[in-house]
Amino acid sequence: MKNSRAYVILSELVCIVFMLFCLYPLGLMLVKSFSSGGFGNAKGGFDNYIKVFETVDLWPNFVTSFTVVGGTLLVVGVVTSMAAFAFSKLNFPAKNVLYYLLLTGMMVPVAALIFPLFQVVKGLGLNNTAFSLIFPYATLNALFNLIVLKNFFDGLPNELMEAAHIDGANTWRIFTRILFPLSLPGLSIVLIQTFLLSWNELQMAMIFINKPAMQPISVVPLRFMQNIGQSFPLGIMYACLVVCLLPIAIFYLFAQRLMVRGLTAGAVKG
Amino acid sequence: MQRRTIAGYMFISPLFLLFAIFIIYPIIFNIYVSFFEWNGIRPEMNFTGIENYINIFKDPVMVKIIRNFVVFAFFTIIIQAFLGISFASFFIRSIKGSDFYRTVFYIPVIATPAIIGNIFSRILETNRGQLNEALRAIGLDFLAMQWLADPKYALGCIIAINIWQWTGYSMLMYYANMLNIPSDIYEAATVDGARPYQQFFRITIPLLRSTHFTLFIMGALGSLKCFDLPYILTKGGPNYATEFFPTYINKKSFELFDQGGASALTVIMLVIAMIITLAQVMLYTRNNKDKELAER
Repeated sequence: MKNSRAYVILSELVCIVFMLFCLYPLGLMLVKSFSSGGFGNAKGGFDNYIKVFETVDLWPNFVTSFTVVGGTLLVVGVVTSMAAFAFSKLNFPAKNVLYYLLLTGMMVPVAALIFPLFQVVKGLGLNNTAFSLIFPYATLNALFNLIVLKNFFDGLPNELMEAAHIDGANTWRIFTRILFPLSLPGLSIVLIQTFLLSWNELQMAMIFINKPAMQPISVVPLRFMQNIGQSFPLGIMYACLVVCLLPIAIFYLFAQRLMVRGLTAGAVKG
Repeated sequence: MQRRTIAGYMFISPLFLLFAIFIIYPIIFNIYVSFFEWNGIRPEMNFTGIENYINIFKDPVMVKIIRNFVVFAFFTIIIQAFLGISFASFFIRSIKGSDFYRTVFYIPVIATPAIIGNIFSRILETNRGQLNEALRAIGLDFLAMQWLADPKYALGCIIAINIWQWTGYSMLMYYANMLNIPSDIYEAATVDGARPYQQFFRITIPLLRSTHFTLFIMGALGSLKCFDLPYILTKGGPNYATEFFPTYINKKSFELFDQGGASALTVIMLVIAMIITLAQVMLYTRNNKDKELAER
């Protein structure tokens, strides 16, 4: 179908305006990260970035973020695959009831979990460590992605199971050797979503980890807002923000092709 | 057969264990604590029955929280759906630069909220913020407001930033689902002489019903869960103008040390979340019945 000229002009115009609107705050951050204005004495240019690495030690924060996200991905990968496989390919009493019970977990706001879980985390001496966040994040993401992965397993033929079963393979072998490898395209979509959500999570992270040196990157920019002043000029603050945004931006560049596919997989039946 | 049954439970047990510890336990904890007066630190707790709930309904802040939730949900859902569907239909008809725009519009979705909040708090700052400087530069001084410090505008700002952040998500959902509409429907409609706008309103919009619906439910739940932007930008203020359930729960737990009240508020929030989810389930089953009828 050919687009009329008026349609083309109007749609392009709307898109350009919205694109500027989308990019303005990020562009502002980038431009200001090279500036010398604001408080204090930032030299401007790349010197701001050198200062970030010399004076604002962000390495431990990155380590926390990568540990949390890595751990979460591992747990989500194992736990969600196993459950999705069982709900799709195995039969057992009360299967549907249990499945829908797990899906109700999706509606629970994080705010309902924080205080009780903080008590648990503190009791176990895990507060201020990456481990305090891995399991809560993994649980939330596993529940969010159960539908996506179950739908994916539903699309794999049952005959595979039957054939392997006749050949004498037990259920665990069928899962690990045949169906799990076949589910990897679906799993990759699940893991992308998990990466984005657990990298950016703020609410739980800021309560469970209150030691500034341990905070994940999703919390660190809050500290910048309060510390701004003579010793921490605006230009350097913006450079810090750019550094904090960099890993997820790079990740997005690589993952974005898969994301349209992921949304269709999850949305068709949901 | 018996072996397979056991295998089924074995495979779901890790997820169930996590579910029990990290979802069920906190909910039961909150229900229990909501009947006590407790500061969250000391060992002693006083049983007070439903007093925490009575206090919440007497609390004038509660009215504001409910109002903010409804206003926020209404505007974000409607505007994001409108923008999302517009952009998706531009891209499905592959206007020039579609792939590029699609990638750019999704960037705010993946950007870390604390970073976004930080930048927007500078842009909206009263004296030196970019927005007010721009308004003054073009002679519109009278429009330069205390955006985040004035109760009249603070919620509007949070809503605008939220739309800025999530329009890309609505766009991608609509786009992905438009790709699933079989093209022969449009071909048949064209043969029958349906104009493009007729096709859009009579075919595209109705066939996207489940997408509208999913986004509506997600928007409603998202508004109930809304925490990051108000916490970063206004801390729920000024004068509770941007207070939401999660920000107020956070305040009660960790600033006011009224854990009984925080838990009671949590229970109320969970009940609202359940009502929204119930609506989803009911509409979903009705949708399925329609589909069955259509297939007959």
